[in-house]
Amino acid sequence: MSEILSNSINPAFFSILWKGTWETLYMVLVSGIMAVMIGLPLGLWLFATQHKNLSENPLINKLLSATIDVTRSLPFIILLIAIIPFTRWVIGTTIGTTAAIVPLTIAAIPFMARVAENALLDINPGLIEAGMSFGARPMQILLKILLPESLPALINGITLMLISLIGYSAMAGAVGGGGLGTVAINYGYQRFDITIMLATVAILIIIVHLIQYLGNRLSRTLNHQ
Amino acid sequence: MITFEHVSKYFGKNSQRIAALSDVEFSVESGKVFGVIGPSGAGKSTLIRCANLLERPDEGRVIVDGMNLIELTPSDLAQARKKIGMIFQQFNLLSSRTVYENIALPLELDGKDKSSIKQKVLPLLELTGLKSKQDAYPAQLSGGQRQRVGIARALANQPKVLLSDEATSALDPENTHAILRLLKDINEQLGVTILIITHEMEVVKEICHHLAIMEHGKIIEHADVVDFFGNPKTELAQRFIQKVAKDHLPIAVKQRLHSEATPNSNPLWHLSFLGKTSQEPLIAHLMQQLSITLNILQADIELIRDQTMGTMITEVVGSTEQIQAGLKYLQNKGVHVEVIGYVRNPE
Ligand SMILES: Nc1ncnc2c1ncn2[C@@H]1O[C@H](COP(=O)(O)OP(=O)(O)OP(=O)(O)O)[C@@H](O)[C@H]1O
Ligand SMILES: [Mg+2]
Repeated sequence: MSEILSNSINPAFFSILWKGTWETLYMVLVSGIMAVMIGLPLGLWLFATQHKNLSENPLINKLLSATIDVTRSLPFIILLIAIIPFTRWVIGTTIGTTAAIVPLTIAAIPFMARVAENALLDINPGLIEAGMSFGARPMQILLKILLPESLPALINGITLMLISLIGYSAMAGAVGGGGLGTVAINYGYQRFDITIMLATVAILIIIVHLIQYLGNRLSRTLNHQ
Repeated sequence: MITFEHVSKYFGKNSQRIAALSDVEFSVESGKVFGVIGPSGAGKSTLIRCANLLERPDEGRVIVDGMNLIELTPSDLAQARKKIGMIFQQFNLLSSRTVYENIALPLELDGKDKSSIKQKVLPLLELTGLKSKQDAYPAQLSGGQRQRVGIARALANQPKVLLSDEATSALDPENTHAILRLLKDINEQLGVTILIITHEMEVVKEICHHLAIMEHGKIIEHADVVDFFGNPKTELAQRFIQKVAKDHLPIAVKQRLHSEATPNSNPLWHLSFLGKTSQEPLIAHLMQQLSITLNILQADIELIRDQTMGTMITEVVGSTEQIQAGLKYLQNKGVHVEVIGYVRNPE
């Protein structure tokens, strides 16, 4: 048994997994950060445009909301293919980890926007009134009151988003995006290399748990409720 | 300092439309504490929220410190609100900020630097007795302490006016008392004008100079607080006073109390007499000259603001004529008499 295993172990076993892991982390982190940078302001905007005391604007709110829902309802694998021309235009190519970041980011933005909106909706509306009562402007209420108050919930939402991104990144990997998804397809599926297959699964499980653990911890530290 | 001119506010549309405020007029003099009481749904919260335009009236003018708030641009309004502090029933503190940081928030938003913020926050911590709690988070504080933070935060911009909507309703009697004393100090020492909404008579008695009673969106009675207790005019005011009196009755009496007279029942009177009257031997006169028997259940001398007021609750035993004569005699002496109900005697 051990002979079979050791015989079948790919000589580049570690370097293949190492590279795949880094690529996965790179894709997930970069698209995660971009999604927060774009999705969070969108979420704040979504919240502000539906609130009579911030900057109510039903038209913008409806448009924004509809766009987000449409993007969210697309299955990721369809999105991945549908935006190929866009990806090529932005990155210059459609394969590789950097190219995978485009669809990953686009999938995560609406998720992040809803996460942010919900986090703000959960805050006691009395805080907005308190802010208004001591002369805070709408922008100050958003950034200095609502954002810090929603931080624990935002962290939980971001954790969830990163974990979904890991799943999506594997899908992107399956169609040439790189990372552990590509490793699993190229070695595990096409060459029937069970060891590599199992190793990618193990690594993915570890990454997911680690992100969940760190997210929970951070959220708990920031929560003073 | 605060003037409402023909202020109306409606909620809902068409047939659902209700007037939360209808043609409300009153003004609060600078340096005074003005209380507003009234039944639930009377429009009290709407009224106080109009005083800093958290709620925008549909008609009328709201003038605070000489400025008609309705006409201000959004940024001028934000500026004006800095001089109108507000405290809330549910405190509305930021859970992510410590006590110190909560109090500092209005100053931070104003772009003040760290040292000048500190210079303002420290005395407020002192005033509200929160020095030892300055690094605690709101979740670690009692309700009374949280309200102190709310008060300190409301005072951070050195406002001329403080608005308080049921600020003590979420607190136990002891904390209520302490918060009221603090508000009284703020009024007396800092000269802050206070508009206070409450349903607790104790609050009114302890700190208000003037009092308004609201019902169905209107102010139906408006008086100096001493006159209010000594001589309430509207039925609602009388009911409020009766309610307080009833709440304090011994349980045994409460059980025998009825609102209708029957042949074997005696009226229960609530007497209140202001200032000098309380010195006169009224009771002796009733008993000796008019041969009425008084079964005194409770007698008290209360301090309303700085005036003494005697109150007495007594069962009155006598013929209808005797009781009429007694009533007339007391009224001539300036004693206010309320019939709380009728006590039925066991057969
Ligand atoms: N935002 C709102 N939308 C619709 N109706 C409202 C709104 N705010 C208040 N009302 C209505 O206006 C009336 C006055 O309400 P308000 O909250 O001012 O009463 P209140 O005197 O403060 O009562 P309570 O003692 O229960 O606090 C009520 O009939 C209430 O239902
Ligand atoms: Mg109310």
